[in-house]
Amino acid sequence: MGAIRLEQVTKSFDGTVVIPCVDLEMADGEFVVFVGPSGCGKSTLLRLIAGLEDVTSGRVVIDGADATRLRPAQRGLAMVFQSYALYPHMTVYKNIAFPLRMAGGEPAVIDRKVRAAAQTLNLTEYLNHKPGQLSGGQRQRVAIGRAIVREPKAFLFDEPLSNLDAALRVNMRLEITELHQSLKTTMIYVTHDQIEAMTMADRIVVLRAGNVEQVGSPLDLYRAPRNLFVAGFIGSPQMNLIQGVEAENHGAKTIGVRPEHVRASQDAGDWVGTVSIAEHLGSDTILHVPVEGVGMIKARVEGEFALRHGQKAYLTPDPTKIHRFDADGKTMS
Amino acid sequence: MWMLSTKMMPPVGVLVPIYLLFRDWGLLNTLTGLTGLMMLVNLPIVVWMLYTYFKEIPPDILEAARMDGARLFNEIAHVLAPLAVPGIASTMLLNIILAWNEAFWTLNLSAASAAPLSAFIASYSSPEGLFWAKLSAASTMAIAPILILGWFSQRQLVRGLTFGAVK
Repeated sequence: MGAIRLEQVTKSFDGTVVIPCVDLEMADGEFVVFVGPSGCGKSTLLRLIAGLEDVTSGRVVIDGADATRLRPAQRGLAMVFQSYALYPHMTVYKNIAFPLRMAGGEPAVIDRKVRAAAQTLNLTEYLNHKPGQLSGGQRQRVAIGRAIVREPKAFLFDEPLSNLDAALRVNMRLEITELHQSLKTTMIYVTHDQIEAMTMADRIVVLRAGNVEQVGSPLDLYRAPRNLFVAGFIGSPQMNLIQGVEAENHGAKTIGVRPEHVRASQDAGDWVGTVSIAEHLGSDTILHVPVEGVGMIKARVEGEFALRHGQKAYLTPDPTKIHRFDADGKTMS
Repeated sequence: MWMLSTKMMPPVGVLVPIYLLFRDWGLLNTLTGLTGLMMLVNLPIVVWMLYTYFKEIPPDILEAARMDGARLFNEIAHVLAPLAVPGIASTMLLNIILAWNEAFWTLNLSAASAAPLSAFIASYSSPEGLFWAKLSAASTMAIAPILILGWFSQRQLVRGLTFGAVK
């Protein structure tokens, strides 16, 4: 049972409001990702849920009970920190066993749980090692193991993969997703990486300056962003945002079209320009083409595409995939 | 770090008030008085060294302990203290050396009963002349323990003094 509800939660530091007002509900077993640029308040929100920061006003409700005034350990939550926060003077075994020792567990029970968690995370042969002797991925697994043994109502992840290299990040992402599928425990995951958000989340909460811009499934946010910020934040490469005459022709202040919805051709198209950059990824080709009167347009083409820097490209946006935004940046229906 | 600034002050500037306080409290020529004074005189350095050491301990670790159910006592006993042992050890070493070598206060506030080694060595310099042999022997006895202690603990000493100086 790990349903968490934030009711009118606000947070200020010395008079500076960092979270104006947040109402959010996370169902039991859900994988919710808080995503947003640096300084948007996503880590602060996570820390308010964890109890590491006090709310200025509002309530944090866990499984129907008001947990606002409870200490972190009393909330039944477990947290995995960005820096892993392992105890450097303790072995892996003692790190994982620490929360069970603090809870006053029987040594035999502690031993069983620690070894079970170590086996799940492929850490059995490292139980006598200290954190300093482990790689980044192994340390991250120890941090997760320390959270798992507590059998919490919910897991809180604060950018756990940001210190890992790209390849390891992909592997760990899959491991965390598999962990969620096997444990079926609520997970709240903070990241600034929208690819992590899109691939892992049941629901994404997009934050900006402490405000919730939009909440929805990854595809909801991708297909129907509520405003310019969400449209530009979700999706990689970023959505092409166009103002001026081209936007006015569509009856909007700004129009947006994702690079994957722009068809590229060497023969004919609505827009023409000279390729400034062509990124050949093998699986995709991303063309950066400045179009006169429109602006810099990115087009993503599947597979290898023959165009190179300096060559003429013709681009055609899919008219059914054009998003229209008004003067306030909100999506027009 | 205003506390550290008190260490910059010449001790002779406060000799008279300290002497009068010791006299009025019956602490002159007592081990209690000298011990208390040594503690207070070196307190700024202790605070400064331990402050720089504790500052380097990541706050994340303490928060993780809190999440794991540790109360304040457990945080200190199981997390903070074990991590701080090298810093405490190097601070202790430096203060042993400073107290061992202290001569100004010991000469002025002690006589026969509470005179440590530094005052004892100074007593060989008398109006009758310098007793070179005894002076040399006493000086060697005074230097030797600190030299040996410092030799074996030099790494910890340097680490403690420079910890936090470079990221």
